[in-house]
Amino acid sequence: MIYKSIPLFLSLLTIAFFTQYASAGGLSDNEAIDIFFQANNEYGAAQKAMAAKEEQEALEKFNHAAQLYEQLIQSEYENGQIYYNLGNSYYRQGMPGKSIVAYRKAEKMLPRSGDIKANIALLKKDFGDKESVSQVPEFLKTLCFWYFFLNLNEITALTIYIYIAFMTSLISAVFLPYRWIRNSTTACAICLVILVISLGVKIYSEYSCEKGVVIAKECKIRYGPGEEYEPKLKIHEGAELKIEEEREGWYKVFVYVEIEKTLEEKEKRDTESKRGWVEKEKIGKI
Amino acid sequence: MKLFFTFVISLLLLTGYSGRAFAEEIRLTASVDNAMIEVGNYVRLTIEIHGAFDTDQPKLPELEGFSKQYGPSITTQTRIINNAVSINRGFTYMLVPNGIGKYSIPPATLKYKGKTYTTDPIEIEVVERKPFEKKREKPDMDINKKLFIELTTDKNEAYIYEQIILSFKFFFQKGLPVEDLNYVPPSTKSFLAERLGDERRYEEVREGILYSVIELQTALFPVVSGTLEIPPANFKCNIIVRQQSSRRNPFGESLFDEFLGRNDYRYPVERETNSIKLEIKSLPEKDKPDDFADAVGNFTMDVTAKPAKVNVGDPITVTIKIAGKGNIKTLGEPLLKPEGEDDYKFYSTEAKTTITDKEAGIRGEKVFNKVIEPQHENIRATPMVSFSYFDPVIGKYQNITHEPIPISVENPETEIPLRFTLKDTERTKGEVKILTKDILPIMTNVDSFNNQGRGILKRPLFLGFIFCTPILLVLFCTYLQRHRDRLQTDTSYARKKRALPQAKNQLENTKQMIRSEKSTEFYSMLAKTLTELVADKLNLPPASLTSNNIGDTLDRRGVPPETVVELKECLELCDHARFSSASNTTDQMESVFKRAERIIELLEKQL
Repeated sequence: MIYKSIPLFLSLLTIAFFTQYASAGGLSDNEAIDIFFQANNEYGAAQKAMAAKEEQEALEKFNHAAQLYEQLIQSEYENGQIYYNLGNSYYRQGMPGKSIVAYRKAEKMLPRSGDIKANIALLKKDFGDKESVSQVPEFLKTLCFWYFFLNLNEITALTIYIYIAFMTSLISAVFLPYRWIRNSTTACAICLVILVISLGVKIYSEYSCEKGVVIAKECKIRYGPGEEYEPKLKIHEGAELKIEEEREGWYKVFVYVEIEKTLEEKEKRDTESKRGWVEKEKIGKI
Repeated sequence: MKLFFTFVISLLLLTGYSGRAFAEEIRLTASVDNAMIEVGNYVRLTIEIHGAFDTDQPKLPELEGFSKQYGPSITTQTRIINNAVSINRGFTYMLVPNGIGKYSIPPATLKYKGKTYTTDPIEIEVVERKPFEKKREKPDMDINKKLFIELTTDKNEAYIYEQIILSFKFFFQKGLPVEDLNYVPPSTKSFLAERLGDERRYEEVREGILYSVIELQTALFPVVSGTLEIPPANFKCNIIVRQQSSRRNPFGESLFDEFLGRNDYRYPVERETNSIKLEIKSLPEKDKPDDFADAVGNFTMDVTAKPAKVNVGDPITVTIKIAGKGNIKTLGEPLLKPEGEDDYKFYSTEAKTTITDKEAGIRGEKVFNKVIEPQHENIRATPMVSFSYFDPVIGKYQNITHEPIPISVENPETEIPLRFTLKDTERTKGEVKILTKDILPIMTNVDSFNNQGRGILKRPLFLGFIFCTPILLVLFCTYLQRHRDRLQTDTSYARKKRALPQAKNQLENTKQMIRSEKSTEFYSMLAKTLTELVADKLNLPPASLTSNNIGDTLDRRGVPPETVVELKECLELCDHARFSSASNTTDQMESVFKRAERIIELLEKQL
């Protein structure tokens, strides 16, 4: 009786999972695809106008395409392709800072896309500030390939599937004392532990650590949250930074740019000299 | 002694120190060991000649109020600090005051190589002698006059980013043994601070007393305007006071103690300076140049460009060297002003700062290396370089410009080389040049287009269900398997669990016997059902239980007496009905059957 009910229960569980997955949200998929098509067509038309040296027309069309992509995002319909195309539209309008913001959001959703990385690298070449972000070593990227290969949703789904597989094998191990079942339970447990750790790190990096990009042409990092404080550093559009605090229209930030040696000792320079306050409207949140 | 002195000087002359030694300016100073003395005590007057050793003895003036006890005792000192040699000759006199009052020791004079050198007069106060007991109560005399500290700045008012020199001076009377010096500098959080060189040691006469001075200097650059306060600096040290041993060890151990400093007493001294208030002015907005990048001080600029002959698109490195005194490390980048907007492509600048002098303020140079690429062949010179700074001495902005440096730019496409041989043709082969760099096209893949914003993590109910259900299932299955295993392995458990179903099954059979009016079989079966139930529940052989001992057995297991009595009565009734010849009606059997049913229910709960 009980053995018969287990597959039925698991089937119901899977159905419940997919039903939940499909039924959430506001804008329907078809409506979203229509707007996406429209925006892509507008972008294509702008590209043609640009080739024909009709700059004003091209600019207007790029702007319209960007508005359509923004409309999708505001309707809580998010996709990596929308953010990537929005980044391209901003770049064509001469807004590389906003473009980087959109690309970074797209990168979170489409971590395997080489196009996004290529565009970010191209934009960064033209930026005035030299970055000092430490890159993840290649061997670590290879070792933890799933972390860099999958986005948050994909890692979550994979963790759930492995969890269910682990529990199923655990139940099987209770009734059937075969060695191969015990081995597969151990393998599932190891995979589950690795995935849960990866998921935790991914959630921390995406939710706990707020990042931003300078979207104004240039911006001054000040000693305190207000115009009355003296400027400490001057950074330019496209510079990426970590947002640490928000207060009355100002962000406390840590900048990832290389600064020349100040009069203070090295240790202090690395932490305090790169920290300061900046107007909120000059920063685009990732 | 003289021989040794001559030897040292000769050695110095040989090793090249002489230039520095004799370059030192000659000075004559007079000092006393104490500016306030008691009647009957003496005061040491030392007249020192700095920078020369072949002078005559200084001429002592007429001393009013003092009698010369003895002197002079002559000392000669040669010191080498940081490769600088200094020579001192001291003439010490011991003077005894004639009476109470304030006296002045007039200047002593020295004639050397046609010049006359004089000392400053010294004021000495002679006071009454204190009783011995009072002295014992307060053995340390005026310690403040023996050592003190000072914190000073070279200016009280400055512009933002202007260099201010903060000096910390520790004065201690010459010869005073001090150790364990510990200086805690003041917090300079509103400034960028840079220490200026190593500590300086020299001597200075203050109010007639000769002090050894240790000075530490720091260059401060204020980064905010307004009234700023430098908090007090703290200083700690120990004065070594040699104690006279009251009992001298006959075996001479105290000599070792003295050598090892065991008789020394450390007198801790802690001092704090005053705080300093500084008025920091903002830089004037009037006449502020557009290219001003927070440079405050006095600077010069030198510009070079290499190579002077390039093709279109080839890099030229423009090296701009800004040198001078001021906030050299925080200097902003000079501005390059090309003639045409599209003449050059500019790359980010690399800067390197070198501090050349830290003795009298920060002085150094900052070299900016900027790579530029000429975009067409009509360019004849590099862009003009402009650098603005604020000079705090004159209180105005200054601008330095460097005229464009002539260069030659060629367009390689216009050159049509003549190729006569295959070798030349091969030489032109190379890597394919990237014509333009542009972003990659937009994405239009609708197949993978879905709402990625609806994350699984945003659905806590679903996650809770997915997480908890398998756990509950596992727990249930584990319980089930254990139960099955126990039924197979544990006879007691299995008999106990199966007792009730078996009893109910037998009751069903018994009921049929009522209908068929088989009274003997009925009562026999009922008694067997009840006995077997108890035997199964208690894991006992059924044969071991009789209607006589079943009561005691159940009593021992804690079954309530009412149930036991009921069971016994029922069993006795069954026995009586089986073995008596009296006829048993169906009603009687049904009554006994119901009674047996109730007993089974009670036993199920109580066993």
